[in-house]
Amino acid sequence: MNRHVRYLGAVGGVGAIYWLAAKGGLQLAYLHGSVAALWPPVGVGMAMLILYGVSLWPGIVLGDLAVADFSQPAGTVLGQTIGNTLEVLIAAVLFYRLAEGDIHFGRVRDVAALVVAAAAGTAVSAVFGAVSLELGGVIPSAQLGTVARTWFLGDLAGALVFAPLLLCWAGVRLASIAPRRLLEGVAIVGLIVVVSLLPSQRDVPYIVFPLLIWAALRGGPRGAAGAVALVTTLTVYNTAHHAGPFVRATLNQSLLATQLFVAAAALTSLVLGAVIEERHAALEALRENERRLRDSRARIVKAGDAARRRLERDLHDGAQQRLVSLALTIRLARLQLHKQPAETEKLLSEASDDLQDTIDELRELARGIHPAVLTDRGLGPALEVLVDHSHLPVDLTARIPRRLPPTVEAVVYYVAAEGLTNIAKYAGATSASVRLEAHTKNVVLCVGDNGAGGADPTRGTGLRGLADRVEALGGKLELRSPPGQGTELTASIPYD
Amino acid sequence: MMSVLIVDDNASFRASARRLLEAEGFDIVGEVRDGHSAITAAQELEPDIVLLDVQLPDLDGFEVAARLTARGLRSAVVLTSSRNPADYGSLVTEAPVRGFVPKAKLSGALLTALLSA
Repeated sequence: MNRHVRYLGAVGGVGAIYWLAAKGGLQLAYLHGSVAALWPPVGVGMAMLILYGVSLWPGIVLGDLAVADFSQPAGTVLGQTIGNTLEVLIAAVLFYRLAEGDIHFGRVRDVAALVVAAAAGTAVSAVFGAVSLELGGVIPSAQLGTVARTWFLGDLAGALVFAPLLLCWAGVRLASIAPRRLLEGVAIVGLIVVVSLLPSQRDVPYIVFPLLIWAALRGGPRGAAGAVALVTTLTVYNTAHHAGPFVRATLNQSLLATQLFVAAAALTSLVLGAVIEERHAALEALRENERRLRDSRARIVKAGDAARRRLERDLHDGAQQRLVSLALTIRLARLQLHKQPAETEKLLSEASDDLQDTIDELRELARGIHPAVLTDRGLGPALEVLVDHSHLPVDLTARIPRRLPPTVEAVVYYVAAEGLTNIAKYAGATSASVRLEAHTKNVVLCVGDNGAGGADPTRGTGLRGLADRVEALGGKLELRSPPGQGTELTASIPYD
Repeated sequence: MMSVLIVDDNASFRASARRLLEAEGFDIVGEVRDGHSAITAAQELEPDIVLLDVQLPDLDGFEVAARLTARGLRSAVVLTSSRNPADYGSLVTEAPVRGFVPKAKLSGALLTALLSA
């Protein structure tokens, strides 16, 4: 099918639905053929433009003309249609912008966005409509204010009730809802119908609020939007048929009472639904965070175990074996002391050399566990020693006015040491840099090189281990490694 | 003169042990570095003593001792390690071996004492 034909079809569809919503709305009118307390086409039109595209706005024009009263002057009809179309467009675009594309009322701010957007749109329509009626001589000037108010509140109510209903429920398949929840929904709907039709409700309109709260609590924004649409439609229908608690002495009093009830019910329910959704989201984020923390804690413990095992093996295979050999050599020397003095002297000289090697090895091992210079003199001198031991030329800048907390110093040192080791092993670089800057609340370490770049942060456990350590102190580790442009590892760690 | 097979993966220990034991009048008939070679060499050489390190790259010393006993070898197996026997708990006391000598305390006199015990 051709693109244009498809577009025209969609415009026709929007027009037809808008027209249906208007026909339904007229059933809710308090005066035959006009003056509605609740005008659904606004909310329906908004939802359609948001869901299927603003470019379908001509459908609103068609739908609106289809229900227009052509006994009025042509200018009056045209003015109202322009106002109604602008209303839907403004409300739809403004809501989408304010809610930043999140159209499911899962945040309280989205409900506020709806109120602002709907109020702006309906204000335009009310002014266009009332003024067109007055200019066309359909209403006397004296009624201008009242008509504009009724128009504004009726349209606003229609937007507050029907836009959330359609936006929340669009694309939801009933089959995807758990049977128990579906049953609960049916129960709420049934109770709302019973309570709304109950004669005793005549004096106590607030009887529906527990049901609205139930729907919002259990169903979130969807439950809230559904229940509010049902409650308000039934209430307005009852009032239009002269039943229920909002029937007053005059038409205007009835209208105002109903419209305020609709607005109050819609806002309360939608806000509660959004709060519930926000609570779900917060809980979910909390769980996710807890899982990440648990994983990271497990990795840290595992890394600690691995480090201790490595240390034990290094000690056992290295220094301990050397000392064992030394013990045997010295025993041999004692055995031969008198029989072969020349041989003994050679053995003792050997032993002395071995002992020196062992001392060196132990010193290296101890430095690897925790460098003494870090404990004694702090990060600046420790990084200098580290850089001196590097095989690459390293440019070191360290701006640290005072000593940092020992844990922070240790992690910064560890990141620098691992960073330089990785550069030496993988980067193919000819020079590296270490930059350290201590601010009042955090310290930032940058380890960079001029190597091949393209380091994959997901490969190996080394970088994950570094990130775990940094994150354990509430910090962040970032790797920038564009291919061919070197690698930069940045750790930012907060401290008190 | 008593014959000894040294089983250890650490070359420096094998060299030191050989020098010391030879100086004390032992005959070092072989040196091997892992468990499987130890079993082959022990069956071939039938030494008086197999000086067997506990930590080997393939089988551990206890396993090697058990297999040697199972094959009816008459050599006396002496375990050695740079760790203490206490580190291995009942493994040492229950192993079919003549004794345990900490590496640093190895001497010909100690081996002789173990064998005559």
